[in-house]
Amino acid sequence: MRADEDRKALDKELKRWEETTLREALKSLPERRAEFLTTSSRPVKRLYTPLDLAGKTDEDRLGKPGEFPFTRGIHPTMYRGRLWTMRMFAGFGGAEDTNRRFKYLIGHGETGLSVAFDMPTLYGYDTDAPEAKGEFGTCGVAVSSLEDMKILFAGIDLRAVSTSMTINSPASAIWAMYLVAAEAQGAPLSSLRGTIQNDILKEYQAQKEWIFPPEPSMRLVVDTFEFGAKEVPLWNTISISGYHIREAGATAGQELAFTLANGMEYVRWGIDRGLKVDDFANRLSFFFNAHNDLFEEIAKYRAARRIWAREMRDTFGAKNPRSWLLRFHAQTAGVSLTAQQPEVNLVRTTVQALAAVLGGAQSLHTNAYDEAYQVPNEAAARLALRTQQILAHESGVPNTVDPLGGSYFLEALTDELEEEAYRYFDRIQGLGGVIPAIRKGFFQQEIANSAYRYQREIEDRERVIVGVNDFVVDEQPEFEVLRVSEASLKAQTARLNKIRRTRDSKKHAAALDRLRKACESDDNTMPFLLDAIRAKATLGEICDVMREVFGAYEEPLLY
Amino acid sequence: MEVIYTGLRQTPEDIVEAAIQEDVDAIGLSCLSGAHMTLFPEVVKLLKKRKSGDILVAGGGIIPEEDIPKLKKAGIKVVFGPGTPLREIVAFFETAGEGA
Repeated sequence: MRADEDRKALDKELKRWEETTLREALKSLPERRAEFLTTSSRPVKRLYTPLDLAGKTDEDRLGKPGEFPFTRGIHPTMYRGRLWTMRMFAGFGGAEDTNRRFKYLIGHGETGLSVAFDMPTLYGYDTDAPEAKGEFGTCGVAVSSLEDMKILFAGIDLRAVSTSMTINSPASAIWAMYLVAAEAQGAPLSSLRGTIQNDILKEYQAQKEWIFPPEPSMRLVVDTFEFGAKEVPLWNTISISGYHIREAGATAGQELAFTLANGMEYVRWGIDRGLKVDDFANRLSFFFNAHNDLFEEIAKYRAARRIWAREMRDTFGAKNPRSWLLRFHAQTAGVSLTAQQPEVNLVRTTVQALAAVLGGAQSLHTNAYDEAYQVPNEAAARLALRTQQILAHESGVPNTVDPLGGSYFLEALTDELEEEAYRYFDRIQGLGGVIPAIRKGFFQQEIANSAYRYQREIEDRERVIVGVNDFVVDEQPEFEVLRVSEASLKAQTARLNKIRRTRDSKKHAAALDRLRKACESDDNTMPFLLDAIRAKATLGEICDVMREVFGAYEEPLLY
Repeated sequence: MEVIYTGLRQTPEDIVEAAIQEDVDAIGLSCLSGAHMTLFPEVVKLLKKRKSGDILVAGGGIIPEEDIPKLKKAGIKVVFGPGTPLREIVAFFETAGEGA
């Protein structure tokens, strides 16, 4: 009763304001546009009040930090206890080039490593494969062999650092390479901390770096869950990624919904394998985009935590509160970077990074201003890291937990995004689940529609992008162009040749044969991958075996 | 105008083969990885080798300004850089079609 009366009183008061103060103001100064939209074309109201938050209590909606439903953060003290990990995505050229960049970034204060692999590596080809022509080291580092992996981390103590690796289709093979390289350093597997992206579902939906069809790919993912839970317990065996879904043009709501739907699909596959949900759920991690619209992004992260906690506890019956936690890495939006006036990207990235911090990210990559063109040059990468250091040490933002909690606008937006996600979950279920929906092109079409609408809004100047369709200057950008050196390519090719020439060919063939049999059976492939790596099989050779057994995926074309 | 999309990750050989099979007037290439200096000229070279050098080749993507003259010299008719409106690209192909 009390609440009802309060609501009525508020409603009356709001109406009074609208009819007096607001009406007067609009007479002398009309608003700039008929409708105000977020980056995702979501309409935003003029004013939010407690009336927008009816239907739920603060306790249901927010809880306390470190407690269910974790809307305000996964940890009771958040950044007062420990700052987010400053993890700069890096990789270009050969292993030596990238090793130098890692050391440079560590030297300037980054607190975690993140490996970007080149295209051939992402598609499971060695540097000297015909498919790799022209692509060596352009978008990341080439890693074809255990030797490359060892050089990549030479002089870096893998017991002391956490390493994230952005690798998907060949994730288990690359992880096996990392584990063997760590062993060679004398690091026990149980001491290793890090993350493999290993999120194949979003490849079919958005990023398109698949190799095999969905079912065998999912089996490889679950192999890593099972192996990791037993042997590498501190490792995040997946980073369920909305980032690429968003980069492909999705809205914030689609990013949220598709990522969490994928997350739940991985949980179902793990349970179907016979794993107990609490044995692997605490090693599932997430990766979200940090795009332009400050409040919409913050709301997205908060809604994600709340949905995941509820689904893990109530739908999947996880008992361990650690299984309920949605821990996430954020990266500022590469797709928002402009080739025009590239230095302006520094400012964009700062606002985006602020969203990630206000949204409670566990780790963060900030893009460099030259990244519309290239893998960042050294100076640009350092500036990007400095952006995070400013937020951490000068802005005051990390001083309190969830500083925007309770904002009428933010809480209403969080609720709205949550509802949008559940509407998508229903549609996906209606299509028979995530994989059938992929085969029907559902996600792909939804994303394409959003991407097209956004591009049209820019071209029709309904949406201003500074330096692109307004505030344009006629000058060529100046920055140092980073080129991959021919010498690196020669060194890499020579190393591969030497490995193939000098390894024990019998041992090598036998290990690949055992791997093939494991792929054909229901055995966990991880131990066989480790053996193949120890027998000096290259990434391309391993993936060739898998390509032969599993076949290649072809996507449905949409028009 | 009929458009044939060959999908992602095509090698220059795949692209040239498809273009000849489908008897196209023009090929549009997109490359964001930085491999354009290798892959775009390779397509032109293979077309010439297959006596199909009259097929127009256009390119687009994140192409540094300094690479554009080199690509044009290698036979890429036009390079669409970042920020090119869709309608400009469509208009180019329409005009090119009229000339043919």
